[in-house]
Amino acid sequence: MIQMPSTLPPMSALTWILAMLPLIVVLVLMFQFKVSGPRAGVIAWVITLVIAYFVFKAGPQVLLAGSIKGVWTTLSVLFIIWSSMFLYNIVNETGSFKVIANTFTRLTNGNRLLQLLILGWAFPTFVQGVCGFGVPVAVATPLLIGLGFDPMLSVITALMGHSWGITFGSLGASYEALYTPSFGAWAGEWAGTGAPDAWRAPLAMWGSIFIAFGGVIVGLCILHHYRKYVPEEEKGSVIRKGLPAVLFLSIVMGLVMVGVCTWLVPNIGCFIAGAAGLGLGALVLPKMKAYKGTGEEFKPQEGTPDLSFLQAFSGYLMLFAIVLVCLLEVKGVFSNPIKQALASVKFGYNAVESVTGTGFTTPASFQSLNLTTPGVLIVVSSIVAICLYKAMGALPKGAVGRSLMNTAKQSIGSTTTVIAMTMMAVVMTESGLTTYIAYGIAAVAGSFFPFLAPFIGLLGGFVTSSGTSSNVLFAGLQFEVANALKISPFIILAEQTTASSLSNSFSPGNASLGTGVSNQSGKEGEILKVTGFYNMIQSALVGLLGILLINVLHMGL
Amino acid sequence: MPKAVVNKLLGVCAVVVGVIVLYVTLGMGTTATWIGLVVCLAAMLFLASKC
Repeated sequence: MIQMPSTLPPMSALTWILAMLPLIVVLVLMFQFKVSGPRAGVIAWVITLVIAYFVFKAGPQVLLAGSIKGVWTTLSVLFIIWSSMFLYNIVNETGSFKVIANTFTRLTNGNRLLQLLILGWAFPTFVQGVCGFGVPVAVATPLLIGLGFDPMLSVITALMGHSWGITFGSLGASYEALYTPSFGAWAGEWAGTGAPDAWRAPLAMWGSIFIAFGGVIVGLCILHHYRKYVPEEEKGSVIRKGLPAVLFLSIVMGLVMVGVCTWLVPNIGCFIAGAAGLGLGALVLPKMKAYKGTGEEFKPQEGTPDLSFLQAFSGYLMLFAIVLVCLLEVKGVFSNPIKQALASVKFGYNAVESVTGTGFTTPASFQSLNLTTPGVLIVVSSIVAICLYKAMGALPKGAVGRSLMNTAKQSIGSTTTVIAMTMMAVVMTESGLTTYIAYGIAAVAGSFFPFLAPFIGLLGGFVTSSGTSSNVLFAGLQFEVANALKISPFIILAEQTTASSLSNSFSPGNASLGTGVSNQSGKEGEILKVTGFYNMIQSALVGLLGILLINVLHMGL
Repeated sequence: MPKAVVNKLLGVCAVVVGVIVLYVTLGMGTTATWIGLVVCLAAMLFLASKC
């Protein structure tokens, strides 16, 4: 029987419901009353303060320290959001995305199924690798529509296609948000032991294995959904015709994802997996007998700039090169002096120890950021990319100013949501509410928890429209439950992040983005009905894999 | 720049100021800590009103 720690109030149903209240309020406000993310977050933060003060005996010092740490925690995530949006806008100003789209259309021999899989699955995965936050949907959907696909099919394919890459996409914002509230929260306690760093590797490995599994499911879901859009007589053959391509792409992208995340740098796992899927998919699949072309002449999109594929791609190639030079390190084989030099330049503040009236303690720690933060590398890459595109004469006048303006417009919404949600989440954690909820669930769910874990991630992703925010909200909770049940926190967190990533196809915010870029406003419900159906299946399969690995094979400890 | 974006930027700035006040008041005694908390609360409510 799991016992409540003596530093928390005694276990009772009423106290557990009160501890859950901030999360319930967020869900009800956003789902039922359509309140914006920042407002729901602020209201839930205030409720958290009240419950923490009166029920969990957290004094003003605890509440203040938690709120400050909450804002600090968001800095590295927000830096990634803003810088990656800026790089995307710079590349977009050059018209390079048209060159990229034309190249892949020509390479697929005009085969519709290959175009859908490569431009609706591998391409959004690649874009997600460097710039998430809905950008893959915004870029891939118009491309698919431009190729003649049904707008609804285009939106749903892009939504599902980009979702699996979210954890290791956006140069690792979501992965960082998975680590920080779970293993990272213990950093103070374990300071100097090297333990938090040692936990990063298995977390990245299990996370990437589950994400790769999610990728296979996503490919099959896209294929299954495509059946609705082909003539009746061809429906039966879609799965048979598409299965080799889906298996090929999921094996290539999945293996690359696991390899890069486990042995190289998790932050670029999705970027390289997407690039591999895009490159190998376009070069190998059209040569297979099943996908030979019709011989029709290819016509490029209007307004395509006079750039080669490598020139168009150079902004992201530069980012890839800079990330590799600055971060690549193989433990025990190769130590990167540039990484060490950059990591030594750090700034931060000393977070004081906070103790609640019942004795729940969060130890003092030095909260810091250093120059290896992905946001710094993206900013450097953007500056180099601007110089390169200018040298090619590809950057129109005023492009940098417009890019900055567009970045502010695109990023401010997610910024406010992330700040409000993180403040609430960190105060909950430091006041003991999260631990209390975790112990309550652990006491009830027992051995069934590995199946339940992905649905908690799904809930977070659905509510916040962000894998990162879902991880911020629930990674601490999942970690606590796994520890309380003495099962692998790595596998439980992998289930959490996989489900929260996949649920981005099912979130109202992303559905609205999809309808916006495809001129289908008002059809969000239709999209959510389809993606919701697939998302339930995806989460259930992830949960079953968790049950198999934890309960049957006893892995991950 | 659109008004909605400017409003949200103002909200974020208010929260940053609120958190700086919090940091300054932390450790200055109970009364100062409560004042810091009220300032931060006001900043967060301002953010909510702008989003």
